[in-house]
Amino acid sequence: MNVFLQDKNLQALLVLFGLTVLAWLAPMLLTVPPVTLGFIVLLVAFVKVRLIMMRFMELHEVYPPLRYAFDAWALVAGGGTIFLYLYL
Amino acid sequence: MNNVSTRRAAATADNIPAEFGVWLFLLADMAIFAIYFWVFVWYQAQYPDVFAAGQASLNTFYGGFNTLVLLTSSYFAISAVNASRRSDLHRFRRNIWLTIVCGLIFLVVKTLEYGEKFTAGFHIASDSFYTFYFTFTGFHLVHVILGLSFMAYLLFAVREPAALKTQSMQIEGSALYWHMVDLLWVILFSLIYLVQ
Repeated sequence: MNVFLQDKNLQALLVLFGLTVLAWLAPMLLTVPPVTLGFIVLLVAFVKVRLIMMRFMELHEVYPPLRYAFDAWALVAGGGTIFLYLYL
Repeated sequence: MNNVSTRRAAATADNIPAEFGVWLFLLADMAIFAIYFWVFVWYQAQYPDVFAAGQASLNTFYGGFNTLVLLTSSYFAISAVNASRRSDLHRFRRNIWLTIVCGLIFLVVKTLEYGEKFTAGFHIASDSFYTFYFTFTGFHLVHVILGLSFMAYLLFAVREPAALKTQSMQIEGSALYWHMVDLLWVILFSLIYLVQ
């Protein structure tokens, strides 16, 4: 328990596991239109991506412009994908 | 608190994990994948029936299981980096081994999945969905193999405590590359297997 509380990366891994299983089971858990479901799954995917970047790639403590560049990538890649998914 | 402040103050352009060029390479590679994601969604909108049928023929278990495996491998990779900073050679090598094992499990599962598809008569020219499925997952698979070769290099190059310092750039660069492979798969899994 103590190890878990001290290891932020382990906590991040468990959150990532939880989000993955949630997105995986979302079609069975949620009774929403397919487009809404797709939007939720994509949004969760990019939340997971940002968590990987911040914790595992250690972007939360690197030179800020580098963090901004990767945040910009997540915003453009995620925003673009979700925009195209919703509006095409 | 003091420790956090010190680390934040040290976060300058001269003090980042790995070499700056590695970060630029990762951004460029990720930019290419971002275009893949957009192209996939674009074609999905053009051929909704073909993509729906293609996705229905996939086994989501393979993709989901591989996602959990890669996430776990990323945890081992960052644990290896942290062990190297503490000069803990035993823990470093153990975590690199675990990262490699996870990568190999990913390869085995992917091979099984491809095998099922080929047996069922699907291939890269079957339809537009399978063209993207094999192209994108195949290109990602090449990244996994490259990442595994970096990890194998680390096992070969870092066999004594002194090497943890001399190879620190390679250790951090290889781990960063592995995390990129992981995060790209997270999106590919959602796009190809889950989003209808």
